[in-house]
Amino acid sequence: MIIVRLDRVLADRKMSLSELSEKIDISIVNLSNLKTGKVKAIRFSTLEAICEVLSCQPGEILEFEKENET
Amino acid sequence: MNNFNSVRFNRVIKITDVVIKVFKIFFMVLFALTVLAIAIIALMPSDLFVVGGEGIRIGISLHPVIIDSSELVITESLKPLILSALFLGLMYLPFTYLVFRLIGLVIQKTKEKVPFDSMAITHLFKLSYVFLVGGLVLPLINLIALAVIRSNYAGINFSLEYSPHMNMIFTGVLVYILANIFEYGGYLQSEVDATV
Repeated sequence: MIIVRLDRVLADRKMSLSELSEKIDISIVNLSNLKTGKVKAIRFSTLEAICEVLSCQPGEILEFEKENET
Repeated sequence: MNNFNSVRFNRVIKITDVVIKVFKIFFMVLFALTVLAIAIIALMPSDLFVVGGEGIRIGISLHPVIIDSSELVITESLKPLILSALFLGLMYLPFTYLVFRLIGLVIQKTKEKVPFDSMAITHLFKLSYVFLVGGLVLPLINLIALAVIRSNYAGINFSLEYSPHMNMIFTGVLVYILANIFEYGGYLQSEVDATV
């Protein structure tokens, strides 16, 4: 499964979610949903805007984790 | 990317909304007047509805029976004929009202900018069922009215055969297909809503 590490990157950059929301012009509700993994997909344009503001690579925000096969 | 003509879309929705509101009021008033007319005519003596002289020429066009006015002269009281016609109106008006109401509810959801909302899709499915059931049931009501007319007038002779409203059933099937497409649209909409 894909894990969103937005909270970690935000903490590293000492930036709040509302500040990011203002800079990339995406509602805080949508960003909060993204952070908590409640969304199904992310647009390239959104990912690009986040990476530009946070000066990071997409791989730092998105991580693939193998689900436990029990 | 698909082009969306918002001006045309808004115009169509606005006109449809107004037409539906006007027709809904018109049907309600017509229904009340029909009930009133039936009550009044039913209480009046039959003799009052007898046309003197050589009678009156009347044409009947009621699915599936068509009688030309040149073939039928009625000398008896017109009361059963008028009551049958009003009874038909009483049965058809709620059906027509329901159709307009359901279309109105779909339009309402479109105005709220959620045309693929689950309620709008449910209304579309209901609309298709109303057409399908109407296409099968309304001809039965026609048969009741025709049976009353035939039993009251010696000059009228036709066979009573059940024949469903095929155009109504066809419309029902068409709306059912559209409702399914809308359901898929609703699924696509939920996918878009869950994308940031």
